[in-house]
Amino acid sequence: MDAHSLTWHGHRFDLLAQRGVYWVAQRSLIVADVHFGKADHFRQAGVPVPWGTAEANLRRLNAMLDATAADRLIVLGDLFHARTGLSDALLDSLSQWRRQRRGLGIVVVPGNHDAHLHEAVPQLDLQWVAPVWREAGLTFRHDPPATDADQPTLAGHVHPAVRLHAPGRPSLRLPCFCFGETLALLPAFGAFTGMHPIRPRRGDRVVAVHPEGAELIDLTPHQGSAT
Amino acid sequence: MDFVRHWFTKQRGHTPFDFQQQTWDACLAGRSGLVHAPTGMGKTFAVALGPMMQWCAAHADRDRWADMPAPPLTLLWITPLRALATDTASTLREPIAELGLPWTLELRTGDVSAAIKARQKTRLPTVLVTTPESLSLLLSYADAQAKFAHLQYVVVDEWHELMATKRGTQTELALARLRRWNPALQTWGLSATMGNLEQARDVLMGAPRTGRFSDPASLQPILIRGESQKSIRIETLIPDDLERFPWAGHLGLKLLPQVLAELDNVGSALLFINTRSQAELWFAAILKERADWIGQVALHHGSLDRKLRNKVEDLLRAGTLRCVVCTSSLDLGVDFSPVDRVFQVGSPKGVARLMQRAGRSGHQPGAVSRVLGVPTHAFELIEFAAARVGVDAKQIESRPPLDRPIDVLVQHLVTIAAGGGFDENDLHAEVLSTHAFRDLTDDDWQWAMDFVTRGGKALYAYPHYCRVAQDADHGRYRVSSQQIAKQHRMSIGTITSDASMTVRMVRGKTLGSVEESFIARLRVGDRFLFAGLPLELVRTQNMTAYVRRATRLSGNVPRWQGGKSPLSTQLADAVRAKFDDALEGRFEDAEMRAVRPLLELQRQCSVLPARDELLIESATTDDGHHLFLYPFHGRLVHEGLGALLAYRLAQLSPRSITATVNDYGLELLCPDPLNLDEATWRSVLTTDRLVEDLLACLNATELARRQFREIARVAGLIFTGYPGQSKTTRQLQASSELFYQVFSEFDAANLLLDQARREVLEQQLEIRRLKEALERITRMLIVQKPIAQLSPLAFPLWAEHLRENHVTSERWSDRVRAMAVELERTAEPVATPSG
Repeated sequence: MDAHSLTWHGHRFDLLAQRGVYWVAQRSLIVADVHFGKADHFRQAGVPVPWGTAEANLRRLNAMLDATAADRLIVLGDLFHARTGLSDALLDSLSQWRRQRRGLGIVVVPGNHDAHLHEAVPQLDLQWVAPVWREAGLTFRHDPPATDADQPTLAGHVHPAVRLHAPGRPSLRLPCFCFGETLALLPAFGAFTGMHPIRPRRGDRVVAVHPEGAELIDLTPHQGSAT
Repeated sequence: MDFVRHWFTKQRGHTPFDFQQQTWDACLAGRSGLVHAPTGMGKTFAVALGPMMQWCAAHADRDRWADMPAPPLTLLWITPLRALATDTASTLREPIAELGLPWTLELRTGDVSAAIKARQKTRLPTVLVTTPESLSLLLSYADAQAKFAHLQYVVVDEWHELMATKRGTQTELALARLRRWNPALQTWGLSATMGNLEQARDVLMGAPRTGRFSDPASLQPILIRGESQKSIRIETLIPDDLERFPWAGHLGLKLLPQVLAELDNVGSALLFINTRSQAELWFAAILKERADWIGQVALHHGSLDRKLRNKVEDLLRAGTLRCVVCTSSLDLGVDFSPVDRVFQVGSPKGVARLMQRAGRSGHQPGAVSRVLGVPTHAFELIEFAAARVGVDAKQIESRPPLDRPIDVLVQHLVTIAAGGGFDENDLHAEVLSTHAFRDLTDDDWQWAMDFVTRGGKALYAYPHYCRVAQDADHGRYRVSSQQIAKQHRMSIGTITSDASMTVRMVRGKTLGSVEESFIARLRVGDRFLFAGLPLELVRTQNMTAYVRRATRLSGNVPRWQGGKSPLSTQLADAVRAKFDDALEGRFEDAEMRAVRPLLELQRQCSVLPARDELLIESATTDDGHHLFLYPFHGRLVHEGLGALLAYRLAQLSPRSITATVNDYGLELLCPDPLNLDEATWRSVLTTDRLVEDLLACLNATELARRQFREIARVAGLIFTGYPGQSKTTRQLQASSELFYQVFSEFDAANLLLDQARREVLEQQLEIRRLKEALERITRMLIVQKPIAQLSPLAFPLWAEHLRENHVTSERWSDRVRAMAVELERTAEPVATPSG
């Protein structure tokens, strides 16, 4: 598995090409913006989205859990897309997955899409924590704080992406991790989620995820490694 | 002479032209057809008066007209431009009012007020002027058939413009529907010059009618050509001193003094420029030299705000402008009385285009249309001479209709499902009767049906998907809910454009819009020229670039995309014929005599290629080793060819090759010498594995991903949203890129993906022309020629390469100028025999 390790505010994190971060000391896997049920929600509104995105999400999640042997999953919000997307088929396959992963603790910080859905899925045994989760000097939340965080913070919500330019070719947008001074952004995990280009600041550690090869591309200039 | 003809003669001050009489007679006989006549010849009345004559004949008692209720929708007029709809309506109102017909006439376009739309919900006027999108919209209401029950005539205006686009396909499908409702429907098209008028007529008519309504030979759809073609005279401004090393894309303002001198002597003129950025430059340059012309010179191009353009068009109609600097935005539709003079600055690009532009001049029907060519570099002199040959020989370009755009079909299925529903077999037959879908396979039809009913094959058992569903009892297909119908209506329409940003003054006034990619390259404080104003970028926000007036312009002139249409095959062939003339010592036109020293120089330092020769020059400069090839097939074909050759040569042995192109040829640049024998050249110029190699070398995935943007919107995957949208619709927004990604990953057999790849190959790379070019090359002699210094043909390619790889335009022109001076110094003077 392609992984880039970095130490950020004294914690070691492994960035994984499946769009998750493994927090080594706490044996925790962190993901953001899964958007389970988004494809279902679209289909019910008459927009044809192919079947299989939720299954792909679970496969990728399993791959990371197996590779890291994490015993906890932290979700930085938007685990679910919308109430109408919680179809029976989706809930069945999620419940089945949960039974297979019975020992796994799952902490969910609610996001704007699933802020009111914590009652809707009792069978999944999720630990909803609102509005943020703090642990070992770090803050975990969905949307990044409006001003610089006073405590190192990991967040999602933005669906960060970088644009790569090559001369004579169309530019390419890739989802990315962006570890700044006090804020770390995670790429959206879900298979059917969009992205939003960000402008990294000088000194930010930016690692892009290649869409097809599932490899990581470190875009950080050499002099500016994260603290 | 009947009542209507009598009115016409009185109103127009002349007896009807033959083509008008012919059209009226055909219309009265119940026929359909395509009318082709130059602008300003009275095409509108040719097709509009027939229906009126017929109605008058059926209602001979004129005294009773005043008390009659207005007849229901009888004549439907489809126009590609909303702006044109207003013009057409006022032209049509004239006979209705003056003949005293009890007819009503209304517009139905996106601009029409909600009150009129509401009235049209209960009843349509006798004559409805509309656009293809608005017609589709009307077909998406359940009572459509009842409203169209009395429709007898459809007129499609500017069919040449619509036919080769998805909106043309949309029109074909709508016409098929109207013909199902009234098999005796008469369809009339109006078209400007193009090479495939017969095909254009057939596409418009769809499959021939069969059975009870099949036409006897005397009633087959006809093609009527406007008889008294205006004769066209092409002249060229010949520069006093000709640079023997011309370069493409330099600002081309060298002939400005001569153009100004011409403008001094004419009352009104159109100055056609090939790109929007160059139009801005010419506009600024003219006003700089003639400050007293402020208010008499105007700018018109496709990026300017519609309101600004309308203002210019109104002034043109009023005849108060001395000169309009314009781009292809004035080619289409916009009706105004002819001007005194038309200028074409830069390459004419195609025969039909130059003819149409020339047709904007010459006041009376039958008068001579004159166009004055303004070459921006020396080779364009040959192009104008070649265009003259093309015009005389009627070597006019064709516009190919589209073949099976599946996104338009998918949209149409939902439209009809909303408009009262459909029986699958009936609609299938109806779709097959259009030209665009005549070869649609049963599998592809099934796919489209699956896509709208089940969401695609991959979704075979998905319980919650709904868009179109079959009634349990009737077996008719209908939209699943009114919400779906509403969403669909919001997104009907196939006109799409690149993501564009609005350009707006900080204090509020909107100036127009430019490609997002252009603004993205600017930083706050950067200056650029737009809408004739020097501007400074203040900030960008929500797809709007806020600007303020800059006091002065920086030396750097921004370029933005568009206007890079390639030289047409017809014109390129005519240029080669002119080369052959030169080889045989024939210099018959003034242009050819002027360009003679340049051609002599080409012969002196290299070879002037004959029509059956492919010249390959090789040269070494500080930049590396260059190969110059001259297939003369236009820049799009050369782009594909350049990428293909670079890829295939790198397959032979690994090396990095960059390609640069123009309309005449291409340059391959390599760090190491490339010495290839003829057999190797033949092997890399083969048509074998053409598609595979092109897809492999062109980053085709990325191109297709971009092409998919339009397809996704047409097929109804993307909601652009509307004011006051609810949270539900916001949660339904996803980008075309995301759809492309999930389809590729989870439904790779989706036909929309296939369409995106097809469109990239056919439209962006012109694969058919590329294949023809390669086939032609196999029959040509390959002439390899090492050159000690750049030849006149090679020089523009070298300069183009330099421009693409250098930062500022100042440094670029300095270097190009220095090189030209150096070459001019070393080149031997060519003795020119006079005459």
